Amino acid sequence: MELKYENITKKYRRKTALDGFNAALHEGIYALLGPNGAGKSTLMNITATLLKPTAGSVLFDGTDIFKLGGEYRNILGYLPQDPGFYPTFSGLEIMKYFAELKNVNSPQNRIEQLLEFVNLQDDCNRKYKEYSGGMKRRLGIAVSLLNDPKILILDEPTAGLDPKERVRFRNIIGKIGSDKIIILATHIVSDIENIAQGIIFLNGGKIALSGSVSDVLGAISGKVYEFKTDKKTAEEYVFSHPNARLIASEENSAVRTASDKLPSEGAVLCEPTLEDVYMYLFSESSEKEI
Amino acid sequence: MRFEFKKLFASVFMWIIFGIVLAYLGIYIVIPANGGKAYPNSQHLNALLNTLNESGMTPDGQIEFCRAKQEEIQSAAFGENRADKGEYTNTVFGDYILLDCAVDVLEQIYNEIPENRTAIVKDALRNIAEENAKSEPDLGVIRMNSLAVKKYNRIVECGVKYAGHFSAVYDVYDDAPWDFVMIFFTVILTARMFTLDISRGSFKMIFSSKNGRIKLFSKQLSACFFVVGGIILLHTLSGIMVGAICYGVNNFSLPIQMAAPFSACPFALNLGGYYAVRTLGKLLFYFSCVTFTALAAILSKRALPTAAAGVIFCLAPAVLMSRLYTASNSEYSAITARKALNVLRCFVPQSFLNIKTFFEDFDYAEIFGFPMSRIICVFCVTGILILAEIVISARIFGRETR
Repeated sequence: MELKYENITKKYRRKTALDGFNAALHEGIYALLGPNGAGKSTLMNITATLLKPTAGSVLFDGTDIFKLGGEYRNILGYLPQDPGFYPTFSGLEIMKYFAELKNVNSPQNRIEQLLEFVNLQDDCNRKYKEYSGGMKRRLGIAVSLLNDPKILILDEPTAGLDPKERVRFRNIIGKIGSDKIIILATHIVSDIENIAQGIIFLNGGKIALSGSVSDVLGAISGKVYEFKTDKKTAEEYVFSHPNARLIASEENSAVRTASDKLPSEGAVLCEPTLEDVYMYLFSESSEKEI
Repeated sequence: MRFEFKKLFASVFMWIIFGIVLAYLGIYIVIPANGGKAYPNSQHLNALLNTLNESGMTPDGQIEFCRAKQEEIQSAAFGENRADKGEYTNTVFGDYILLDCAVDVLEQIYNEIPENRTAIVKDALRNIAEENAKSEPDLGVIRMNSLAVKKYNRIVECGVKYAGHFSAVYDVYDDAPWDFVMIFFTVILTARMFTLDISRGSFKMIFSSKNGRIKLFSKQLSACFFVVGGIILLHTLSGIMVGAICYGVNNFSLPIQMAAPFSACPFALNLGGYYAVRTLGKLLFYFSCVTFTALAAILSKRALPTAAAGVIFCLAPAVLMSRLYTASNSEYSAITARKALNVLRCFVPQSFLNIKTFFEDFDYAEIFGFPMSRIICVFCVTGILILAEIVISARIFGRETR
């Protein structure tokens, strides 16, 4: 199974949201990381056939997804950032409504199965407006899985969730990722740290960096430093270097930064993390080369 | 479809609007029900007419009998004895009114209807003769008048029966304020239905599923048709019930010509048939409001512009036609106004709001050289408009955004 993006460009009147995006995805979880306005949602909408690209094509197993039409959407599951479910519907009614729209066979069994999977079986008769943020997201996942999709697109699925719910969400995604192509757009690095096979960093509509986790970490290997200093110096440094962050304690502050040059005497090299890569790529500092 | 109803009526605003419509409908039952008390009981009248019919008297004899009876009871009916028990009704005064109505019915059945039709046929034949005498006769005029001869040169089997106070029923039930309220309701309902998923964002999950777009479109359209159609049918049924109970309009097999305003109607239609055509016409008009508003919603994706466009499209022609009706009765602009009105009445769905005018006389027009009844024309145009709007809406709804 392959989902291939060939030179995807999307232009609006005054803005280019995507500029020559190329990627080939197979079974597994792919994270799309980038700041606001990077083009993540635009790419999600194109993949979900809600938008047509200005140029380029998206191919599923060699065929343009817009030519496949209903056949492609039959294997697609999409959870947008705000699914817009109806507040006065119960969770069960929402599942039934979307099962009807998606032409699901034996909807009752499938609905029960999915509600159990996302642990909402006891709350399915409550109205959607009474659900917590985590419950809403889990219901969204259940709805997007109704038609047992081969391609699952999740747009900022953990936005607004507390850490416990985010962990629960990661576990759910981790369980279903093996035989599907899952594309997860987020700017919360910790959500995908341990589950994503591939990572694409998107900025200004272009790919800033992409590859497996080890590939992207390797790209800034030898560039991540930590050094200790007093609190005031640390705060000044962080203020003037957007890709640095404070690792603070009451007595001794420490700064962690990704930089091409040694940031301070006594700074030590560290193993990079995805967060370092994110800060390195998307800070306003010009001191970067990949 | 039940989910679409639930979505639609999740808002308090929709319930308020719906309540206003139902309250208005209630008014249209109470007012005529009260007004019906002023008219004589149709059972008594039909009993009297039956007696006269079986008596073997000639038509003139029957009319003379009623008039003689009226003279007999005149002084008692308008004097101190008006409340005494009458021969046909509970009071002497009631008898007087009943006989007066019987005379009107007999005059209509025996004289007015046949004489009107004879006069129309004679006029048409004269027009044909005059046209044929010209060096370049207008074939359109000849065709129209020939058709008039064909339509009116037949006997209308009236029967000596009372058709009821039909004019009172349609004066109440073909009323502009009700139509304006229904138009607003239809537009608001449809605008909300078709913009709700877009404004909420739920369209993303729906549109990214296999048949989501078409299924959603058809469910939403069906829900609108169901609600609007249901109210129209309820309105019609209440009109039929009130007409039957309060105004004596309960014999639907009688020819339409027996209802006072339709004595010159050319169609071989009964009162039941008229109700059916009227209901169908109203349904088509309101369905055309739904389909236009749906198209506006799909194009604009926002409720307010949709509602504005819907109200303008549905109301403006009705207001224009109302103005033209008024102008067609004025001294200065009657001819121009009448011409413009006759053109509009062939093509504009709002004509169904005043559907009785299609049945009052020989209402035909030449369409591409063929004489065609204006009501058939407007039925066809409205049907085609509805289908076209549905097809265009479905195609745009099903298309990905560029």
